[in-house]
Amino acid sequence: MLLAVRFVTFPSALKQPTALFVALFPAVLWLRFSWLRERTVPEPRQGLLLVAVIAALAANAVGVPFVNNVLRPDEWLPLSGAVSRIVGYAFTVGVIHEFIRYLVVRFTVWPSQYRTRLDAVAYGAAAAVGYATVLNLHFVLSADPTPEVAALRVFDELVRQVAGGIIVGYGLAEVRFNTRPFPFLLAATIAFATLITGIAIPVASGLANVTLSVNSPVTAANPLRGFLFSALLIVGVAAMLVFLYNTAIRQDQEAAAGEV
Amino acid sequence: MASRDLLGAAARPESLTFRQRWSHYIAVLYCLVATLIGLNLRDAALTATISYTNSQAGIRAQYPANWLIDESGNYVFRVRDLSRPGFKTTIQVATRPVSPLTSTRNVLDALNLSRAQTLAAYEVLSEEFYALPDDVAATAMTYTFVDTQDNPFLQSIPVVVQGLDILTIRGGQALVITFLADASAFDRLRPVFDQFLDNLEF
Repeated sequence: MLLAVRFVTFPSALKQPTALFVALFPAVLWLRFSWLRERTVPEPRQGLLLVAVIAALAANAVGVPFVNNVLRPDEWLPLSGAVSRIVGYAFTVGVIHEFIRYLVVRFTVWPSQYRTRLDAVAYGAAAAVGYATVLNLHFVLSADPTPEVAALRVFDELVRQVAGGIIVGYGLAEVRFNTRPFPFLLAATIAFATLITGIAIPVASGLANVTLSVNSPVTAANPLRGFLFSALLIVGVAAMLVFLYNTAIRQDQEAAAGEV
Repeated sequence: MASRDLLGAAARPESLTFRQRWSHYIAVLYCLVATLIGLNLRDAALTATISYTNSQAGIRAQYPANWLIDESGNYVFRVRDLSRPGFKTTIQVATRPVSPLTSTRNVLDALNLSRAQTLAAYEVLSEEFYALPDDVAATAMTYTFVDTQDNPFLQSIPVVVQGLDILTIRGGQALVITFLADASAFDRLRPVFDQFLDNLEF
């Protein structure tokens, strides 16, 4: 998708429709490869679409207005130092996004629809896709970007939301399935997810917009670096969560075997 | 009787263990505290100021941090928010010597005549009494004009700018404190100017 919109020249009349399609593309992919496929299994997960829709509505009704009109990070964070930006984005954009998505999952499907630990990944990703779609539509409709810029932004946003969704999902799964969950673990996963957002926003934009070579002092934008950072971020978070989920599942199995 | 959740499944709040309940309480508490920290960070950043002192003009002020200060024009100093897209929000302090017979009306007329010749579509909206923080009587004049980009290579639509002059005469000097902002954001940015006036000493 990124390559397609990067190397194809679109007529100006098709610029916004293409950008809108790019913004909706992750939701289309999710519907096709997650939700629709779920319909074909004997015991499908209930409420995936509901979680995605409620997350999207909550993003549009609360998340975006609160961040844009109350916290207004674009007015005071871009000129701050690196650490201030990370902390600032974590405690503004990050915490609002994670809090809303956590509440959506908590009060729709948790704990009644959680049958296995991996359900947490599915519901976390559903909430993330719904939430990210609204953020991306707001960007496309307000900034009127070219399709390639929209594609990069959509990918960055989706990665941040999905990474946060599966991290908090791990916390919800632990609280649901662990017989003696550590009370601070869920809050810790939310804090970690907000930190990931706090790091990802300035680092991805920084890598995309500045030169890394001392021989080339003139700033040259290179969006590919931001894209690679986002790709590495989701791979890294996924690898870490796979390890944690596998460890938890193995412990559950060992505990069950011990009881038998 | 057990309630039912959005999917019709029986919700069992009573089945949550003590640790599960407290996990959610702590998570919600963390999010609320973190949001308050975020709001506090925003306030600290947006209201952060830098001190400015000019002993020659007898002025001490606190201007917004991250704004660019400039003392090279026909004013005591001017600070601008260069991070703003479009018209750069500006606060300017200027003094001009006046005779004992000069009234506020004379100074305002001189400003209007000068601006009408240099600013496009300059128009005065209102003139009214204004009390500076230490109860010094002043006059507030609100006006608008159209600002166009000086650089012909930067294509941009002209911006309607709203201005506010606070004028007072004291010790043989007319002090003109000016606030200029994009008209569409003037009211939202006005608290920055009000904070500047609150801390101004002259």
